[in-house]
Parts: sequence; C-alpha cells; structure tokens
Amino acid sequence: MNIKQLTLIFEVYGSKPEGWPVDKVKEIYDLLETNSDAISLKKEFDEMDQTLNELYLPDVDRLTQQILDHQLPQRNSNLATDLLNWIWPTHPSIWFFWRPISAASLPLLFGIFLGNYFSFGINYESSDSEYWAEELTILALIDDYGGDL
Amino acid sequence: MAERLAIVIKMTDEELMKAVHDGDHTAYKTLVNSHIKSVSRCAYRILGNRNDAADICQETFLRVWLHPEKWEPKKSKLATWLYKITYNLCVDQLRKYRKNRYVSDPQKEFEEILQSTDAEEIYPTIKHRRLNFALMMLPEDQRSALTLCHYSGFSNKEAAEIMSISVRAIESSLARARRSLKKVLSDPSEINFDRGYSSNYLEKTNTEKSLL
Repeated sequence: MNIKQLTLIFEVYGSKPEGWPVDKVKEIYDLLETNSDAISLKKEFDEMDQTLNELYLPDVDRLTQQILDHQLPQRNSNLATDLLNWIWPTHPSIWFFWRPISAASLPLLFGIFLGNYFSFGINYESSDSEYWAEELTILALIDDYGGDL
Repeated sequence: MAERLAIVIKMTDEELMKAVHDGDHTAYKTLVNSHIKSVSRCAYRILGNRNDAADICQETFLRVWLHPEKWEPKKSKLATWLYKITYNLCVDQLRKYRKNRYVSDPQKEFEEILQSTDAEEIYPTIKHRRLNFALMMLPEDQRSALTLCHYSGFSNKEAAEIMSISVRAIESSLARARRSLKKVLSDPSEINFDRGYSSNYLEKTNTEKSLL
C-alpha cells in the first residue's frame, strides 16, 4: 500500500479503523507504523472528523414536543384493505398462516357447495330401458365381430 | 399509561411497529422519542435549514403513523427505513429549492446564525465556520453521503441502500466530499465568507459535477 491508496481509503471509508475494509486493515496499520507521511495524513483526517463532529446541531426538544402534540390524522382504511391486512398481516408469523390458507380454500369449498346443491341442467338419472338402449347402441357400433355375417 | 409505557419501551422494532400499526399512541410516542434526534440531525445536515428540517421530521413521522405497513422488517432495519423516508423528503425539498431558484438557502441560514447572539457558541473557531460553510455548499449527493456515513454511522452499503444508488456511486461521492472539505480546511483561500466560495472553488466544483 502507498500514500495515494491510503488517501483514497481515508476519503472513502473515513479515518476510523472500524470503517476500513477488513482485508486492508493490516496493510494500513503496517504503513502507519513505518511511514511518517501516512501518520500525518491520518492526523489530518482525524482532525477533520473531529471538527465535523463538533459542528452545530439544532436542539430537538421543542421539535419532539411539536411532533408529539400534533393531532394524528385518522388512517384511511376501507373494507378491502382491512380484509387484505387481516388475511396477510403486516408482520406475519407462523400462527397467521391459517388465514391465507382458509382464504385460498374458500373458492374450493364454495364449488363443493354449489356442486352438491345445484344440478345446472345436467340430469344423471336414467331409467332401466334407457340404460339398455344405450348398451345396445354401443354394441352395434362394434364391428369387430369376427364372424362371416 | 405508565404500565403500557414500561411494556412498550422493552419492545423490539417489529413489536413496536405492530403496535403503531394497531393505533397505539404510546408506541408511536416511543418511536418518535427514540428516533427524532437522528432523523432531525440527518435532515438538518442535508438541508442546512432548521425550519425545513423540522418540517421534514414531522412529515417523516406522520408517514410512519399513516403507513406503518410499508416497513418490511425482512428487507431493512427500522432505522434504515426511517432514514430512507427522511432522505427522499429532503431530496424533494432540495428540488423545490432549485425549482424556485432558492439555491442560496444554506448560505442564508449560515448568515443568519452568524448574525445571531449565539454565533460564538455555535461556531467557536474560524475552522468550524469554514467547515460548516463548506459542508453546506457541497453538492447534494456528496452532503447526503457524508451525512449518512459520517454522522449517522451507516456503512457505505446501507447508505447506498438509503439513497437508492450503487455502493460505487456512494464511495465516489464520499471521496469527493472529504477531498473538498479537507481542501477547504487546509487552504482558507478556497472560501470567501463575504461572497461564499471563491470563483476558483466554484469552477472546480462545477467541473467535478459535470464529470458525474
């Protein structure tokens, strides 16, 4: 590592060792132990960081009170959003899985119910004579009789 | 109330946000108290204006109250999400400055502070004045990157996530920001308090900007 690379590391990651890339820490320390320019460079960046930390910041006490005193508005919610939030909560845990599962199986249950109670014009009932007539028709259609007829 | 507060204080971020989602005002107050300092400082550092920073803070927490479900704990930490809201609001505010040609706002604020009675306390030395002014005059992306990484303690990767840019882009912004500040500290001729930056410095900054 040379001074140019060290300068770039200080510019990108700052002069505090905890911010440096792990694979470069040893090389940086080695350079800092042997090179006086590296030491003065670190000192310059440390000073800058120190001055940056000392810069003025406004007091937040009044702001905190102002925010807490502010009347919080009602959240806009509708039935669809509420239902979706109930089915898939914001912070789902394993105990909530019955909700999406039951929601997903609802169409299936509805289909079974419809199938059981409504025929939709399909009539499966047939008399005995109709059954035999159907059988004869099928037999007549089979021409693989094997005889000389 | 006190009992509820004792419970809320011990909550994890996820539990706290769930309580906020359920409309718990004590949880909301706890959330505000624990994050207001960092959020307001970040907004002030980016905008350089106390009043606007206060408005941004208020808007940030209002958004948290209205849409707590937008935080995805598996994707980011609560602090990262709060900073992302703050940063986006600050960027919008800076766009408004530009749109209204109100570009000298940080300079105006700086001058107001210098004229105030507590100027000595705020800027104890000329070095502080110079650095603060240089910080305010940095391009928005560089100031934001420095604010998030130096002041808020985020890693370059986290800051990149907040600013929705690549890690390489944030590293480039950080390098340019620190280089500019160091230059201003080591060479006082780079800055002129009467007119803001020297024309030499502005020229260089604009060249850097055009290279982006």
